[in-house]
Amino acid sequence: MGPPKPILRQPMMNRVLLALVPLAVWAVYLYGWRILLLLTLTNAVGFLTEWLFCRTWKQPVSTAVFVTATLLVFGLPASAPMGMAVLGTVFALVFGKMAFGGFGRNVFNPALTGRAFLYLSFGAVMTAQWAIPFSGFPAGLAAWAPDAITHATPGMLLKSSADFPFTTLFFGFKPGTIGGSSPFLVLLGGLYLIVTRSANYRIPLAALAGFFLCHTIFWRFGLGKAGPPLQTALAGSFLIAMFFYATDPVSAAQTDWGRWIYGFMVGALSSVIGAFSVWPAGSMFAILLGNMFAPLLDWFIRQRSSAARSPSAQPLGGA
Amino acid sequence: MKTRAARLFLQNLGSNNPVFSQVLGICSTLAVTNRVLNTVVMSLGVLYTLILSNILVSLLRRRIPPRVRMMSEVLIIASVVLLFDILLRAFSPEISRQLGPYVGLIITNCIIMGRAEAFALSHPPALAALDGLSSGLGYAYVLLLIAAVREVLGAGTFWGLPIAGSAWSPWTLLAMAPGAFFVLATLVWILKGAVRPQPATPEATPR
Amino acid sequence: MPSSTSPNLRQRLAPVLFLALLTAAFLSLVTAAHLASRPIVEQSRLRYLQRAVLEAAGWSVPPRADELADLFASRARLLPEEPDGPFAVVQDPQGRDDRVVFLEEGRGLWGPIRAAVAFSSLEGSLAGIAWIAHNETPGLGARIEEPEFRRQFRGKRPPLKLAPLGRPDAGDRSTMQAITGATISSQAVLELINRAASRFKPSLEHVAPTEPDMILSL
Repeated sequence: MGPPKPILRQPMMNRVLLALVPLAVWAVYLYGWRILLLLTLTNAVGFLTEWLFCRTWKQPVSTAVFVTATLLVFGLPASAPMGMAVLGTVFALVFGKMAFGGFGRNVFNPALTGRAFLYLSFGAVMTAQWAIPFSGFPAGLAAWAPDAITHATPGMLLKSSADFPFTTLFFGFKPGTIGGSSPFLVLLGGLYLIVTRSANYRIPLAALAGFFLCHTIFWRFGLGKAGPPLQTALAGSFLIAMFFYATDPVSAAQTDWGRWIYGFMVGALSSVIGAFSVWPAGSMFAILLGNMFAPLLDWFIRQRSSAARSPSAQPLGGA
Repeated sequence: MKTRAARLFLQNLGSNNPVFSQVLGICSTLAVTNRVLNTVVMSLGVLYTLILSNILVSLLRRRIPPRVRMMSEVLIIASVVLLFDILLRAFSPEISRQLGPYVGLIITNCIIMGRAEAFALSHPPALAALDGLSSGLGYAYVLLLIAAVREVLGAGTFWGLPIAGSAWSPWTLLAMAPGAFFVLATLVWILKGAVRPQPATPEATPR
Repeated sequence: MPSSTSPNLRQRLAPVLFLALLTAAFLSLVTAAHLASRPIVEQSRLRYLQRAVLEAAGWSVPPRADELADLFASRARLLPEEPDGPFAVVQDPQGRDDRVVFLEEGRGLWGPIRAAVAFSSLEGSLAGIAWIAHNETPGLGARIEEPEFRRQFRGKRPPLKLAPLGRPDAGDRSTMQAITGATISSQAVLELINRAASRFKPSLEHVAPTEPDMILSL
């Protein structure tokens, strides 16, 4: 049950990166070429950080570091300063990954660890300064960065019963995080991951079930600040979180039943945190909490299945 | 005797440091280190308590019956801390207000009980006082390092004075208690590497 | 050799006796210090109360103790104690308005947050707030002391609710900006203000505006 030996080329991580390319292109279309610089910078810094550790450990750097850096940028608002993104990347890798012993050993998703650090440290930048995207053609393809800033995303406004047309939300002509704007492209990339078995289908499926179940109840009975479930799911970065962050094979649950429970828990918690806390979006905290319980879920399920195989075995034997 | 005292002094600052080597007093390390001023007052309180309680325990060490040893130590420590709290409240109400509940919490600082148990109970008062002094200093400088990092990065100030420009956006997380974990961990990492280069221990459990 | 029970008994009694003596000695020491310092502590407690009441009413308070006492005596009128009634009526610095001050308590993280909450009898809105005592975490919850935090309440119309994170609704008179990372302290402040406000409305009919001349003359 040991983690896979870190290798320089990880085909699975390459597929994740491929699935992220359309999102990056869309981000450049919305927010200009500065996004590309942001991605290049964080990826370079991320590689350097991991290389410093791996050098003393005499291990190769894993391609997963590029996934971490890219996903970290995708979780930021487009107006995030470069220094902040770099700080987040370093924090994500040092405390989210290398402190645990490198690839395959981390408890929490590194990109989300870094994002949580930025989120709690720089609340104003992370939650209240959203660049208004370009529209039409060539939009961001001929620009460096948008100037206009809004204080709230559709995801936040839905809580105060604003309404948005479905196509705006679904195709992503709206302010939001860099990567999470377009549910259409997220679903496309997510399906690619599932078809190529780079992500386990159980996790996003269970997460969607958990989210819609909880959010429909909250919305119907007017509990908390729950907006209409479908729009809420499309408006924020919920979908990218469930398809790309929650499915991280290292920090997610590893048993089939564990994945169902973990996914459901993450989805339901996203709804609960989104509806009842002061934070605008709950997916990040939900996944981090889910990460925390994933090893326990796996342990329980392995215990049960081994007990089922040999009924005489002690349930608390310790593997 | 003199060299022994000197060795004790240095050990408590370095290789046997109460915070980063024995990992004691972590509660207060996490709680008070978000401002340098609080940390200084807390360190003074701990220093005073450590020295006084060490001396008192050492003076009574032949009289204290072994069975009620710990109860007696707690009693002595609690009285010493309460005295400090009362004096602070009477003569420095502003600082007493700022520190709030932390002064009372010195009682629960494991370092004080630990030094009473491990050292004062078996050594003469002079040495016990020196042990209290050096343990307190060892505690203080580690906390001050943490506090300096946390206050500068987490609030952009030092000793309450703004030192970072207005362009600086403070790392709020470092001002919160979880931030202390990250700074403490990093500091232990660095100091243990510098002060006590350990031989590589085989991993206890295969993972 | 003494009898067989006596050393055994002494062995068992000695620790108890020792502990009793030690307790008595240290307890009397602490008690003596407490009693000796009590007048000073009471004095400073009274000062903090007067300072908070004046600050809530909009005064910038002089640092010296006797000046503070003079100011309090000349501008504040203590009201007879009533359940839910206000604590004092204080003239505002411009001399145009009377501030009805309530003492209210909220549940902070480490202990009660005790506050003086002042309302404008002229406008019926919040006039200000000041802390008598609190035990919030320095650097986090204790940031309720910062002037920027306390200034936001002037002119607000309770009941207040927390403003959504990161959206400074400066013009909104019914929201309060929380302190990042100090949810419990912020919530406690919010609740104590709303409680004070619910006490203010009924008291308005009885106390303040019916006889404005009487209050102004005080």
